[in-house]
Amino acid sequence: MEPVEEPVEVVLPVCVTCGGNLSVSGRFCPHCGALQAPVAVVGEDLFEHNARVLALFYFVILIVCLAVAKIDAFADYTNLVFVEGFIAIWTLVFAFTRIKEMISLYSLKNLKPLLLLACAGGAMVASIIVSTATNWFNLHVFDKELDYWSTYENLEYAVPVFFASVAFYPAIIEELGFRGVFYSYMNEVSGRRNAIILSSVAFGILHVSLVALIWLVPFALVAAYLRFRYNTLWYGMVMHFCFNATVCILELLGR
Amino acid sequence: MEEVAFPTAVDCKICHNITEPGNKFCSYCGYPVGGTEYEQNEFDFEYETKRYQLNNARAIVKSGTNTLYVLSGLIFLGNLVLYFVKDDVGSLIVGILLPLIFLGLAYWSKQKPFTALLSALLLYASLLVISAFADPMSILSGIIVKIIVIGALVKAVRGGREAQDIIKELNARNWNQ
Repeated sequence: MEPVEEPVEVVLPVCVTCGGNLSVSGRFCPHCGALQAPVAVVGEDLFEHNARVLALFYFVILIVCLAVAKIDAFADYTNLVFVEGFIAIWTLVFAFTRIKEMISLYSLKNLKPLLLLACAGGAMVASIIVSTATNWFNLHVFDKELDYWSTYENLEYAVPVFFASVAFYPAIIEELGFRGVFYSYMNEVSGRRNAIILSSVAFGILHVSLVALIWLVPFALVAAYLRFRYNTLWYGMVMHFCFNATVCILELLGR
Repeated sequence: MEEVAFPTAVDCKICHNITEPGNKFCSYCGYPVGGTEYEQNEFDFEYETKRYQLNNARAIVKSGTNTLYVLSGLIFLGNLVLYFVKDDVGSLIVGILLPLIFLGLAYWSKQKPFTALLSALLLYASLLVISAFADPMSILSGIIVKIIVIGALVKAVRGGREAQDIIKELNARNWNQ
């Protein structure tokens, strides 16, 4: 006896409002006229709220950074460390408002070792190119050398503190601030594309150097894209640490 | 013998999609092809209102784009004067780079108005804060122009966001822009 084929049940899409049959290609129900996948539009109130939160977060850090550059006392790291502490606490306060999402960004699950290596290697190569170009530019245009080390050289543990402050601290706090907090608030109201671009623009401007925008914004775009693509801050943190650590190493080697 | 009238397929007046016999609404754009005159008028009103709102939002965006063009020119001229008066290379670099950035953002605002204009607003507001730290008296110089620029950019960012939302909604409904 030949096997009897079971009839295949074809499930037609039905209207979310009236339950009537839908056509395969249409977006509206032909019976009640309901749109089947309405666009979720973010309310004006939420947008204004998030914009205010981000403006507060961003401009306070900008003002603090500008004050540090203006006040000579902060050329000494024993004073500067308090500013770093304040910015870290300020960032953590905002991160705390999205604590669940922020914690999930530090998950070690699904990390790709090869990608981490690529981030580290790419950042180091980029850092060498940028450092060489900026040194040449500063010497030939402004007749001065970029110098981070002088703030730290008189400290007891100068080298470890130098690396902690210039490489480790920004990799933790700036990544949390921009790829964490800024991205999250912006993503909620205007989507991932805007979150990637605007968090990168804000990150670039905050460094208060017009010329540096040329590499800071692309760097931040890559870090923000990796945060979106893999839902983690680790790749950005590794990139940031390696980029800044290479700057430190080059500066120490150049002396 | 009397002829039996079968319902026939209808050509939608909005999107020209052929609606199957017996269906009250066009499944492509939602137009009530088999609805009453009142329902059809109501649809027409909503359709035209959306397009009108989009045109308004685009006009606001355009004024924001024009503000960026003017701003680029003003920054370029201001820094050029500073370069010749003070012989300051920094002013020349700023006077070239900054207008180029704003021109780029103005051009980009035609494709991505919200993102480009918000970036421009962020940059301009940051520049005002930075220059206030460099020279506190600079807050007052050209204050009316600064207020006008900030006001125009804030308005344009809102317009850009509105345009972005309306376009999303029109696309979801297969309605022409």
